Amino acid sequence: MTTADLVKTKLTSAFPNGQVEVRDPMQDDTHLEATIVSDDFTGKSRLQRHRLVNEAIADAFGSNELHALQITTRSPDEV
Amino acid sequence: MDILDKISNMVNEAPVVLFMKGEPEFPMCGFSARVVQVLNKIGVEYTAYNVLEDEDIRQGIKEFANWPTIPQLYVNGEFIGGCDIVLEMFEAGELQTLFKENGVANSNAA
Repeated sequence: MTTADLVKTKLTSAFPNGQVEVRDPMQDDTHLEATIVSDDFTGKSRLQRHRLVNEAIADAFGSNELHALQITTRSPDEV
Repeated sequence: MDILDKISNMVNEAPVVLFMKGEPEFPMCGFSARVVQVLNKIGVEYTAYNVLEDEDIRQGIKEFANWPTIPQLYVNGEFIGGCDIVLEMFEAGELQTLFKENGVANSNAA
């Protein structure tokens, strides 16, 4: 499983009612981008949203597989 | 003094504090470079710490902010976020507002 797959799996289980997209623009499986649209973000600040995402993928960073994840979070009404 | 106390002092020493990889003139990472660019564009004064020079700081700030990555921006002792958040706030005009509200010195004051 690639790191991108791992991140997508973790994010999808953390935000089951949301839409998760993970991209690997440099095709290095290291510098990834994730966009998550979820109602869980409604009314939350950017920092709160990012913390939710960080929690979902916490061990991916810890194990040093993931060096950089560019995160975009949107609530459904912001899309 | 333990590392978390040290970091607490560091983030409260100046109105705007940035933990980054490298120096503002020579960033060692694209994300740190982008935050520096934004701060320079707005024209705020800030204190930058190069975490590559101190492994204790580098790991300590992750625990202190409960945030896994670098760069990390603090305004008046409060953690604001990393590169993604700083860029989004800048594009939305929120960063400039944050600095004004916190009375941060701005050499490009509009």
